[in-house]
Amino acid sequence: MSSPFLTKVLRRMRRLAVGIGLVAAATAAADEPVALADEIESLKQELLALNRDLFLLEEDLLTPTDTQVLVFVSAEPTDWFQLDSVQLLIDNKEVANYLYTPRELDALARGGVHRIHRGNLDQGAHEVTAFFIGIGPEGRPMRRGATLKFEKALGPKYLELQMAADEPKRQADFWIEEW
Amino acid sequence: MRTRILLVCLLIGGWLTATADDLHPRHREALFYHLQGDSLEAGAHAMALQSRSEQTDPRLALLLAEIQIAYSMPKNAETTLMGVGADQVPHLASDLAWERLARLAYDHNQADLAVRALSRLSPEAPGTQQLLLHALLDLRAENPQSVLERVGEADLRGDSALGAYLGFNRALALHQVGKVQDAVRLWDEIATADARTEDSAEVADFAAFAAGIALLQAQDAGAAQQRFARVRTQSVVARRAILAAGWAAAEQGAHRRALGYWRLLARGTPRDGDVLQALLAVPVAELELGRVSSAQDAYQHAIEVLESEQNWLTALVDGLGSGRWTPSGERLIPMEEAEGAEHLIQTLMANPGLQAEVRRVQELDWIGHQLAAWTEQLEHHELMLRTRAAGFDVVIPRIAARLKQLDLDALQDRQTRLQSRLSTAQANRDHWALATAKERSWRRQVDDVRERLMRMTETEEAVVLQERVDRLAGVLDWQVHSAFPQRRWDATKGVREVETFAIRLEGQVQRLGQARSTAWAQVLDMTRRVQDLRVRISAQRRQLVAISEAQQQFLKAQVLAELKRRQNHTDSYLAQARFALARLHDRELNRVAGR
Repeated sequence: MSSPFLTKVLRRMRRLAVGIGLVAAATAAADEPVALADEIESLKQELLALNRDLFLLEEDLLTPTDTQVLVFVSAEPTDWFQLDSVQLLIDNKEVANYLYTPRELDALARGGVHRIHRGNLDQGAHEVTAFFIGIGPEGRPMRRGATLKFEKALGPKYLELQMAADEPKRQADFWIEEW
Repeated sequence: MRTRILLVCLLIGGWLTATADDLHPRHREALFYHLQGDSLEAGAHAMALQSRSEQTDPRLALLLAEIQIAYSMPKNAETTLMGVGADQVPHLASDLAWERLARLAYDHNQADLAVRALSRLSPEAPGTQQLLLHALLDLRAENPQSVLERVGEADLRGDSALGAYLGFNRALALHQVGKVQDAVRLWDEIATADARTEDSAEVADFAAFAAGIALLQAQDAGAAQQRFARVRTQSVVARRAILAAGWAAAEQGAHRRALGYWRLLARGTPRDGDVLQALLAVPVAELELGRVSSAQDAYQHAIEVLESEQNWLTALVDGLGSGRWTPSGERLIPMEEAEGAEHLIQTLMANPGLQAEVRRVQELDWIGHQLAAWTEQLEHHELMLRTRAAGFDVVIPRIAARLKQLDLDALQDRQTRLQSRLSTAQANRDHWALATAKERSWRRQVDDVRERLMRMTETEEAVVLQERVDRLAGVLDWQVHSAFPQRRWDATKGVREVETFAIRLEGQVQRLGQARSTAWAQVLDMTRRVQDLRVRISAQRRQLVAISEAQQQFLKAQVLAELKRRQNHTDSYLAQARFALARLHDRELNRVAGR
């Protein structure tokens, strides 16, 4: 069979097959309006810098470094506990109660940490309590807590609520770490 | 391509995650946003952390580069990666930076930069990725021989998706130098390997398809068809594989089977190129089966579909050209005005170049919203600063008054006196210096009784009483003496506590004084920062308007070009279909006339 369609199809497909690794990049870069692209990139750079300065201003304004306390959540994925939410108490007063989306849980599982609380504390002794709420083995609702007494001095205080697998005990482990 | 980029991102991400334990939570917070695709927040956090840190962390810089790439900022990413690569950092970090830069340069058609970046890799850098990049660059430079010299069979061991990509590109090179059988053998190996990830499965689909095409070209249609059958239905090359499977069947004379493939494909949306080809292939198979009437019907159907497509495209081009419709980020063409706009968007978005442009328009729209939100946020901050300033007017005089009342010197004196008394008691072992008030009172009573007894006449009764008083005095002395160590400890502790308290109070007084004097300076500084940010945001908003307008115009031109390209395509198919149908009619007429 010598159909002109076949010849055409073959030519097109051959190009596709040979250029398989090249097509996407070549198309993406074709006819790029260089000046406009540069302008947009420069706008984005300024936007990032603006957002950084806003972020720094907000921190200085709302939580000056002397009194600042930041609490983060990190969660390694485990087979024994599926995190839903975290409740945070400082000096027996609830300061945060956060329900995680699947996207956030995925980001946590891949090494990201979530800042659950940013606040101010006087110098001296304090106590932080965190409750990890989720689903335990066999689909049972589970609530596990961790407490830490800490001393707030001058300067920012960083606390990390951590969850990780305790393989030998075949359970999830929860604790709070000071940075 | 997307998957390859993803792979590299995952490698860097994997490294970041693998070394995450010693990363500061603020660093991992930026990663948290990046992993959710929120580049603006991730970038701001990473940059804030950089501006706060005294030392540069290569991991943070690499993360920032990934964020910049994700936010379509290739030039900034290039600068960041070059910075990491050139710094005195561990090999692992610099290799990741150079390799990422090579890939970025490759993706943006900067072959020289890609080659330069690859040349900076250390001997310890992982080989597969380097080889893959070299192979891609060689293939782009149409130098398959170099790929074959660089990538040997031994390099293809291992079951990673990267290894499969590398193998795929070696097979491409083999095919380009005319070693078709070797190329097919290698593609077959990749296509039949156990694909553990979606990436590997995708490469396997491409490999099976490429092997099929190569075999079809080599006139081995039976073997080609087997390869096309391996392509998964969810693969991006699935439709092409169905089309090609039809041609492979037709090559073997199995026209009924070919018809089955093409009819299946022809049911799809006519805005897909493969579907249009299938529409024109169906009558070819019908003719091969000797069904002239069915072939005529099939051509007629194809012509109707193509004409309808042509009319639709013409209406869209006219609408866009006359300025009635403007492509915008959220809606490429206003839905309510353009019939079938949804299909158009789907088809246009299949073009990666247009996809990028539309994404850019969407980003610009979003930037506009973001700038408006920030302006509002700054208004809140200003209000907060004004409230704070008003609060200072009340609080600062109060603090000044209270500070005045505090006599730190007096407290210091009292502490010094207490310390001195304790030291004297310790030096003289004066147990009674630390006796309680009750003990002193008892001691006074005992002394008083003893004095009175001394004044009495010495009788037998008086002697007994004297002895009893002496015993009482002895017990009291013993009690005070034995309690002395504990009392000395308690007193020392108490004096120290007073000292600590005095020091802390002094610190607090100093800080209060300092805060009083810096409070206004801080408020003024923050007010200045707010104003500065306001000015910058206003400038950005003005710039954004101009850029958005230019981008919209560019997108419009791109959409028009794409639509015209499709129009030309459709015209060409339509001409072919009409010509083929006319020829069929002629043939039939001749046949009837001849009869």
